[in-house]
Amino acid sequence: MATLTFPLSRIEGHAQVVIEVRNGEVISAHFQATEYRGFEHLVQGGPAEQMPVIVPRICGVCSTAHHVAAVKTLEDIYGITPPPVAIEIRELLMLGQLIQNQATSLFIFTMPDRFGVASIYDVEQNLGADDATASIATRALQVRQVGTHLITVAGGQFIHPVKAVVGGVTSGISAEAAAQMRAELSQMLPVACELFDTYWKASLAMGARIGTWGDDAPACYISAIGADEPRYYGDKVRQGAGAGL
Amino acid sequence: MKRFAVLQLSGCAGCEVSLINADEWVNRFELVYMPLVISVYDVPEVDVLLISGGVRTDEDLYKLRQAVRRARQVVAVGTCAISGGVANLGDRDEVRELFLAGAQRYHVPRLLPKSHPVDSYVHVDLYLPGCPPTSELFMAVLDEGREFKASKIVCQECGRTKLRDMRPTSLVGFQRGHVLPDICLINQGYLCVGSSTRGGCRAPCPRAGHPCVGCRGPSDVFIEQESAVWLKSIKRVFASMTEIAEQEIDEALRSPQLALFLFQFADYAGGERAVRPKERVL
Ligand code: SF4
Ligand code: SF4
Repeated sequence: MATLTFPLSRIEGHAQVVIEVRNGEVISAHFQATEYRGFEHLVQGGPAEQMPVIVPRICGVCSTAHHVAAVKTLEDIYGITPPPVAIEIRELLMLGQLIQNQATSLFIFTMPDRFGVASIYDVEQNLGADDATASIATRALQVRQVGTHLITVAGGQFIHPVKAVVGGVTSGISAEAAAQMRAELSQMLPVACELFDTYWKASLAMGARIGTWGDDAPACYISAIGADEPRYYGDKVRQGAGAGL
Repeated sequence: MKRFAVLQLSGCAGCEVSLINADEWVNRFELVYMPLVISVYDVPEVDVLLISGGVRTDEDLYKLRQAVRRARQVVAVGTCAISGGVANLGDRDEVRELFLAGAQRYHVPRLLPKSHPVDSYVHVDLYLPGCPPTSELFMAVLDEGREFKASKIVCQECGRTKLRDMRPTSLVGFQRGHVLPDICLINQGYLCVGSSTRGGCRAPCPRAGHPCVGCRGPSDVFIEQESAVWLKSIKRVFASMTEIAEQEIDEALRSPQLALFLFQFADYAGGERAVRPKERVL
């Protein structure tokens, strides 16, 4: 029996796909995550109020979610409701995360597959520069950056936020910083949309080339919601396709 | 064009994310290996090898030994590569067994007994501390020609004012009170260690009202000495600015959030490790 191991790239974390073959036939295929973080053990015995600063280090790509989750958990335990403005700032933090995470996932992790290259940095080099591919890597990184800037404004530190604490946030957002952030975001929005259109067209072309890639199966979408609209800070989850709460 | 690679050992990928937050390098340096963003399976010959993450598994160790042979300059990036990082919290007596037993339930490469710094095994030319280092600091490493100016300590980049007549009597933590703008966090009773932490990060944390936890490591004055010297200097600052009992500060400095960073350059006490000279730390 032969075992083939393929390390995976363009994902957050370390993982591999292991395929076992006997007499030329595949008998099993597994996805294996090969890294053990173990935070559930390593934080034990530490002061609870330090968790919002320690646990973002579970993952540098989605650190913001861990920061906010830690604070929400502590507030739940202590029975504390933070003031509305703190909740708004935390929501902004989550939105910054959403921007940088989506830009990473779409443009940096999966876009290269649509073009059949090893990384986003190779698109222009290998395919030449037309309207869609010119400075594609730089533009993708700039979209990510605007998400990180929002995280910095709302969360203090740029990767592992620090501002959310039990009962609120350690500081607000000045009018000046807010105006600058707003300008930066509206400047980046068309860039992001354009990149997404490129992504979408390349996805359709890839579909035509290699057939379905699983996206024609029925999908179920879920989102965290507030009273009636998506709210990443919310603690209710709504399922799409009319299935209700 | 300068070629560089990023070897990702066991860590959170925050260092890599900070690197891709900068876009200035895209057309000036050639990134040839970094699994987070490129599908390439071996480290090719490079001018600069950035290593992030600690040596946590036998596989990390193998990859590390292979990679450094192909690099002209080796840079240890971030707290994990420099000291083992947050994984060291799993090396406390109370949780060690639980932690190691937890790992055995998964198909992961064999864990070493603890997470080791990169320089336990290979020679490191340059250290870039930070959890993670900012994009600006990454650029300063890649771009040798560029003029990079950092303050000696975080306080000089913070912009808060130290007051003489505001002397707290105990640490406040974050369970009560609220953070006043513009006034030094020590005056307000928060355990900020910015007064002896190396500058260069531009003080994002104290600026946002959260005490500096020292992720950049000690300033040049303390970096070649064991951690006790750094801790003593922090206590001296609190003795001169507050009425807080020394023991209270001492205990708080040893709590996980700070211990994680305050011991990162300081494992000299055992005597087995060569000192990391300040000229080789950015
Ligand atoms: S001790 Fe902290 S808050 Fe005070 S000036 Fe220094 S960095 Fe700023
Ligand atoms: S202010 Fe302190 S904790 Fe924050 S990034 Fe700088 S050195 Fe690290």
